[in-house]
Amino acid sequence: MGTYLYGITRCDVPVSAGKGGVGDPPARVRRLRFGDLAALVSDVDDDAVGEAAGVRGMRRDMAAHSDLLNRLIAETTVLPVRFGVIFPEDRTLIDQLLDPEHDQLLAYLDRVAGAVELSVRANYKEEAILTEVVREQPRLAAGSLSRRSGSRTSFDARIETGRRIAQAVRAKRDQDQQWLLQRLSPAARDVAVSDAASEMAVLAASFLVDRRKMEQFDRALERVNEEGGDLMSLSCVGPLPPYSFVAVRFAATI
Amino acid sequence: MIEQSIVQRRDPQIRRAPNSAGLYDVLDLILDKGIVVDAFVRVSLVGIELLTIDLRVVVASVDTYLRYAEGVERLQLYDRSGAKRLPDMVGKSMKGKAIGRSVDKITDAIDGKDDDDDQEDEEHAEAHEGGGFARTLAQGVRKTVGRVVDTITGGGDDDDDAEESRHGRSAGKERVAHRSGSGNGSARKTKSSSRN
Repeated sequence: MGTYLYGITRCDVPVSAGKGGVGDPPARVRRLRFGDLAALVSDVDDDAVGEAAGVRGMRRDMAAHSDLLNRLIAETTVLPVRFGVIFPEDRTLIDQLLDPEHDQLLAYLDRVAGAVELSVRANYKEEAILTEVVREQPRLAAGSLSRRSGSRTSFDARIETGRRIAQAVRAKRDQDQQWLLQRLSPAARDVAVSDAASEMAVLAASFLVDRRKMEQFDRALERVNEEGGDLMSLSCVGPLPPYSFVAVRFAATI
Repeated sequence: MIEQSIVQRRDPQIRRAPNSAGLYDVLDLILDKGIVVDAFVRVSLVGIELLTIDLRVVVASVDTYLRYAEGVERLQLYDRSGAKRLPDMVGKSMKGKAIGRSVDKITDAIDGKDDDDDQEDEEHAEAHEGGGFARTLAQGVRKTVGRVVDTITGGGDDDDDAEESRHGRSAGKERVAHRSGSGNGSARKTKSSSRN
């Protein structure tokens, strides 16, 4: 047996979780109170939950975990916990987390109070960005037609052309990323930006947005989409629990 | 659900609620972010992370440069012919090797092979590609490895429409950055675990 942890709220907020936990059948979700905090937990058989439950079980449980927190964030402030954290029992959860980190957890609750996470992705449309780059710097493509395919020289020359284009795309990406952040950040309380890892990625960022400012954020998104939509595809998912803004590791104090 | 309509007063054109039928939107968040207590987390992703680091080296590669060069060559051709429509410039990715068990496990978990919902999810997934480890892995690998990846992730979509509609992220730096680093703005609090 074990105590599965989903998230943490203040103890004095109404929370209508009750069903829909991990496991099969879905475990009941209850609140474990300590001090000013309440942890949302389920009693689980830790041989049958998460990774231990195999592929299908893991998928089922990830969905349950995520869905529960998504439902909660619509009505209250909650600190989401990473998937798959299971304590041997309630007492351990209190002794290892709620007690030693009580004030720190309250501080996090303050930080994200009344706010949600919105996850934004912008990626160039490859055809469009290449067109744009060549339009701005025609020399990048100069001579590309004179190469015959198949020869060693043309292969190397192509790689060099491609490399220079990639460089130009990266330069544009840096500019466009800044532009996006300038347009979207005003409506947000905080921003967490990930490194753009693919050549076509312009922005991968999470915004911590006050619920009352979500419309403002949506409008900013739409304006950005109108202006930049030819060159890039924009998408946003939310409201989400603020995972990116409470990404904290606590070490157990054994 | 009632909660959803309260939160989304007007229909957001670009923003959409996390799809409760699929995991792509949240996978990287629930597996990599949020609060974690080291000693009690039961999901091991070591295999995935190592693969991701390897792939990062692969993705920033000759294949990408060649694809750009070829795309631009076709641009030039069309420019000269005066055609208004630009050709599809997607380069076909190279065939590649099979990927490790960890990836299979996680992607199976995401896609739940037997589920019918997942085909619908593909569109949403392609739109956001917030799918974290396996998805970003698949994304990056797709560019260089091709059909094998589609089979594993149950992708089923052609490379041809990928460039138009995909909002993907690639495997790579961000995973490495997250491993070693910060929550990007949130404080990191650790207590030293003194095991004497």
